[in-house]
Amino acid sequence: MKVLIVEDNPSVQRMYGKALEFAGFTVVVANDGNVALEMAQREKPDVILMDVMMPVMNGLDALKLLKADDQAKTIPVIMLSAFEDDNLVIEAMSIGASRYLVKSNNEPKQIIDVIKEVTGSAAEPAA
Amino acid sequence: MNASLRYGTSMKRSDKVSRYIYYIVIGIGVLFMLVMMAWYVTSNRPASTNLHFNVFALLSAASFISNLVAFILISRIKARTDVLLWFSVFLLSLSGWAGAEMMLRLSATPAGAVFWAPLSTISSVIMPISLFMFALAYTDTKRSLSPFIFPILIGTSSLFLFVDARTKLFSLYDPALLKSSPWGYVIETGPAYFLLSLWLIVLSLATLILLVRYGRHTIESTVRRQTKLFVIAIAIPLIGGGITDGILPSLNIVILPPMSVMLLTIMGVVISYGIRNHHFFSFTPGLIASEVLSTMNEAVIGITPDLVLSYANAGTERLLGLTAKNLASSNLVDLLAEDWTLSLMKQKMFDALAEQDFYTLDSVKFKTSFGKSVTTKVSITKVVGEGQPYGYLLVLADITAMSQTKELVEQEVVERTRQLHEEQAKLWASIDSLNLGFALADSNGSLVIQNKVLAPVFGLTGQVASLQQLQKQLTDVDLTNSSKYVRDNGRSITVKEAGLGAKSLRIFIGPVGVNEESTSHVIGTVLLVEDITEVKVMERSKDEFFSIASHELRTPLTTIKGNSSMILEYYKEILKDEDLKQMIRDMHSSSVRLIEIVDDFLDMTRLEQGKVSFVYEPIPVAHLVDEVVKETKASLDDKKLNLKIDKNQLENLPPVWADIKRLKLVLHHLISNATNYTEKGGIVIDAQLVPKKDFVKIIVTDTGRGMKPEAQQLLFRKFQQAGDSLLTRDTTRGTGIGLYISRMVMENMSGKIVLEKSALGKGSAFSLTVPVATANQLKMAPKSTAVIDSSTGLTIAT
Repeated sequence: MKVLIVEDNPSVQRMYGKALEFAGFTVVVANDGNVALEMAQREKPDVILMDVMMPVMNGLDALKLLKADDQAKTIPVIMLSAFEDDNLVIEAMSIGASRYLVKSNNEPKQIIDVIKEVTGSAAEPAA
Repeated sequence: MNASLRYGTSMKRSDKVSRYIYYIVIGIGVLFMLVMMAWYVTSNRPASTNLHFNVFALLSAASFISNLVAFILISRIKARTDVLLWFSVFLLSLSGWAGAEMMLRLSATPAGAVFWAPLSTISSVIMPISLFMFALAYTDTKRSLSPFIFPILIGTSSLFLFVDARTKLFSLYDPALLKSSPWGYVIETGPAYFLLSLWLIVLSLATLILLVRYGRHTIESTVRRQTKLFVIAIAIPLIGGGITDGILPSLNIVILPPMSVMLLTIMGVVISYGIRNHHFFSFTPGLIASEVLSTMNEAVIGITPDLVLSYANAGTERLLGLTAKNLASSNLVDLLAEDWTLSLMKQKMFDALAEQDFYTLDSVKFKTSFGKSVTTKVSITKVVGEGQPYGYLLVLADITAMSQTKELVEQEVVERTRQLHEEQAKLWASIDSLNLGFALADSNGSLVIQNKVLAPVFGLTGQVASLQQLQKQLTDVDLTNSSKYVRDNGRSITVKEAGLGAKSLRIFIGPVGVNEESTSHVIGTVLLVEDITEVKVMERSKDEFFSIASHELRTPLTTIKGNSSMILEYYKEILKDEDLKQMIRDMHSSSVRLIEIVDDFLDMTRLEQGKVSFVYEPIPVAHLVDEVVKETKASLDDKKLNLKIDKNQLENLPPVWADIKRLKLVLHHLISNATNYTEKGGIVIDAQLVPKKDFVKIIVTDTGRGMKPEAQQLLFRKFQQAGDSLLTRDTTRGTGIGLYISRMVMENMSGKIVLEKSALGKGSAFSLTVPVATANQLKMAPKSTAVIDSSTGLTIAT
């Protein structure tokens, strides 16, 4: 299973990247929303972890474009943000995000559980 | 009665003199009559005056007595007016007439009858004269006091009586010619008897006419009523007596007894009754006029056409301090304190009266005996009687006090106006120095008042004419309609943010009402406009700061937390050194704690700013407690503390109306606190309906260390802990904002959090009070399934 991590902070990229690798996922990383759109089409990930606050294009805008794209719109997107804001949650969910998680409230391991839940897979990591 | 205007030209003293003369004339007249009667009685006294009883004599006797009694009663009345005087004479003459008639009827011999008959005639002649004089005085025709009328009347009557006594023209006083009748002897009448009757009838008719005329012209209702009574009372004996005593005897028909005395007696009794019991004569205009004149505060001065004083009332003495003696025959110009010559005075005061009867001068100064002057308002009336000018009547009203008052009032007005201007200036300075645009608009939207800030706030220059002009500057606010709403409803509106280009304005529109008695109505609107561009910028940067702080603080913390937990998870092999493992664990728990603190601060700030939205739903209390207890069970177990909950009781409570996420946090906080501060014993969670049944109270009681009373005061305040000092920290962790946040959360949900009780060393009890969900709220609660995100705790309706 391939996971696209959209995140501008390198240490966070590394942390989630490692956690997902430990769990047996293939990880691709995009630094901002713009790159994420391109990679979503090119890499065709099974799930996208999307930060909200990013340079060039923010996570909500990227989500909108993804959901407007015929090919990419089926990919579940889990918003992963430092913000805990009701309005942001509602907006993201209404655009079509599968989940909205607050980074500080969730251990990497919990995020993996959510990914499994969203993709409906029993996590069959590629060997 | 010492001052009267009847003469118009009479001064007080001369008035008194003329009255004395008048009484003397009357006295002489009465004396003359008495002398004549005495002379008659002594010269004609018959040898035999034998009497015999006659029933009809009783009638005359009754008249004689009743008239005497009436006379005594009337003469005892204190007010000695000429009206009463003449009425007394009238009663006395009636009494005499009745007495003589009684004797005539009792006479047993013709000689006796012939003796008494002329006496009766004398009285019957005086009677109408006194009645006529009474009417003259009563109707106030100014002639009753004339020194001529009464002598003429009495002279004529005397002439008649003389002729009657000496000739056989009127009555035949001859014993041989007497007729006998059932009511005694009747005197035969002579050929000219009708003249005597005519004289009496003419006088009585004249009396009647006077009274009728007077009754018609008077406007005073009491006087009118009493005059009517007189007229009726006099008419009855006039008609009845005219027939029995005049017409029938002159025709020598003897079929009825003479009834005049009797009928007149009835009349006398009626009038006497009226006088005694209804105070008839207290109301005569003359009496009223003199009473008013002597008691009124205004000075009343009568002057002759030559402007010489002829009358002054008591008020004149009071006002000018001059006695009647000083005033007598002085010229009006001598009384004035004005610098006027006689001709100038005439011109100023009397020229206008050539055209009109009444003239008023607003301010004329008069001298006073105190060497000062008095300012008066003078009303001048031209007095004209019978085509002849009597002179003038001046009424002087003292306006010295009034003009002084006027002066004071004028000063007061000047002072008040100055104060008002000052107040106005202050008000304007305040309004102008306001950092707000201020305007008052009338109901048409025209600006009545505006301050200097208004135009610049709206990006305009100079004076703003109307709301419509302001409206043009705004795109997203309908100022005119809003103003109309405010006027119509009498309620104010605040437009929190109105865009004007790059600027933001806050506009307050309030009604301007006018209170009229109980109701008030809106006549316009007041406009307060604040430029909040800066405020908005500040607010935005504050928001941004919190976003950044939130993001920038949490992101590195998340990395520390995530990496440390991953090390513990995936690098167990390497972490064989127990010390290293503990260090990583401490890093992890510290980052968790730091994140909690950051979250608390953010929560607190957002609650303070009112930026937290609450999502309400009905919450079963048992479920709520259950959920929170699950989360906190571990730490309770760690400390080996008991937990007691009456589940049955919780099940029976109605659901509460709250935001479940926030309510859980608060309850969680209470239970954690209880756990943290309790070393042995346990925690009891209890819940009950509060008396009025619209709130549920959840009580968390512990057996912990408790608090001192002074520490209890500080609970629920920002950054306060129940510890002794800043340096003596609690053994437990805490920033001291947990209860503060809890309080804000509870208050936002219409509930409260309260310290129920606390005793040092024994424990504390906190309670949460939450409103019970109403029937409507239960209905309104979303039926659609709600997804509760376990990771964020947020409820999202799908």
